[in-house]
Amino acid sequence: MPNLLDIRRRIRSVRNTQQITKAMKFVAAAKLKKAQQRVMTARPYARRMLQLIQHLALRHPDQSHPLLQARGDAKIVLLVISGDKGLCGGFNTNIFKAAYAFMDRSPGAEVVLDVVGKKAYEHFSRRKYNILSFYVDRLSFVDLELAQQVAAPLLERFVSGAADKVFLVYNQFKSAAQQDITVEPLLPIVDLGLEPPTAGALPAGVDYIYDQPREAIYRDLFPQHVITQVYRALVESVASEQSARMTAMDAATRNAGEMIDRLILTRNQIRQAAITKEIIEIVGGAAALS
Amino acid sequence: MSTPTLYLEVLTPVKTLLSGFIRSVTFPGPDGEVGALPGHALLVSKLGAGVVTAVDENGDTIRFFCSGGFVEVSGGDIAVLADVAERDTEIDVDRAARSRQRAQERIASGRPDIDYVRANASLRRALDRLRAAHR
Repeated sequence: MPNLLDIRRRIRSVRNTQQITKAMKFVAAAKLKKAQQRVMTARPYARRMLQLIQHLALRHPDQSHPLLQARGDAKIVLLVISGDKGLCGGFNTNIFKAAYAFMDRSPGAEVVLDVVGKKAYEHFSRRKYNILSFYVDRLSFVDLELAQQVAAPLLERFVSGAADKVFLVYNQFKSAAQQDITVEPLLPIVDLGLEPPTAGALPAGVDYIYDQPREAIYRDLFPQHVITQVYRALVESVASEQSARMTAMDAATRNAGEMIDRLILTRNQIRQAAITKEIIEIVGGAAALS
Repeated sequence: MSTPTLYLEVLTPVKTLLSGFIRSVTFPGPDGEVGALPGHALLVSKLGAGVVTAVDENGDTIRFFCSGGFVEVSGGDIAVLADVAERDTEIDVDRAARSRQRAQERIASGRPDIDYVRANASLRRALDRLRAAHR
């Protein structure tokens, strides 16, 4: 039979852990709220920019801009966005799994990684994967500058021909309870989700007035679009990480509670057994005397 | 009777600054100010650095400081996709004034270790901010 003192010690330890997980849950909830806000405020710009590109592409399908050129898929860069910290359930491991699945799906291609987040960097560098560049401990403050830093070498690599395709794998933020692992093509800019002009929309034949040569606009517009996409993915990933952590810590707190309940039950049983044993001994002793 | 209006969105990658109906808008193009009234032809332009001025439905003027980006006029919609933008009411005037002074001092100092391009750009930004904040 386990020792009463040990069980008491165990209860105290689990209770301490529970307090930590509970605190982490609240911290994650507060951070999630902020991150969620950023996702929401980042979306209109990204959406409108895509719309602008679609409008232009609709009128001029014959594109010669370098960022639109589809080549083979011999050399692929995969931009993996994970978290800097753990204790967030399957958030990071799911991203790794998605990255492996992607590599399995592209046999014959030379896939190099570009990683954001300490967890992915540690995971892939330990396994001797070819890592192009990594961005570690940057996710506590995501701004446009970080997105630029991440996107610039990718753009350069693509334009120079050192990469034929660039993909992006990250957690898309759906809601506080749901994140979706998403693999998206980043370069070349291909899938613009072109739809035929809807009724009421202006006929595609009516062209814009271009205040500058179209090429000059594209030269700025397309890289900016890529940066925007990276930025959006980063903020979505941060929000997903916080929501994953909140869920994980909530579950941990609940599990600790259950464990404490079980331990308290055991403790009471042991204590009761000891008391009963003592009474039996006293009664037995008294009976022997009479 | 109602005056014709345009739907203006002023967006930055991090924030939506304005989304609403306006009577007119002017923005800095690469070669000078560009104005748009309801019924403007379809237009795509780069956005320069400077001040975006819009007149809202009540005739009040709204200003934004902006530095670079794109503008699309399509139908009754205008989208200002700015890299950086600040609403007039949100501009820190003291900070802009300080930064103007610092830039002026740097340029006036004539020291050889000064990056003139940067100092000039900083001065222009400060002046644009002040112009957007004041009337």
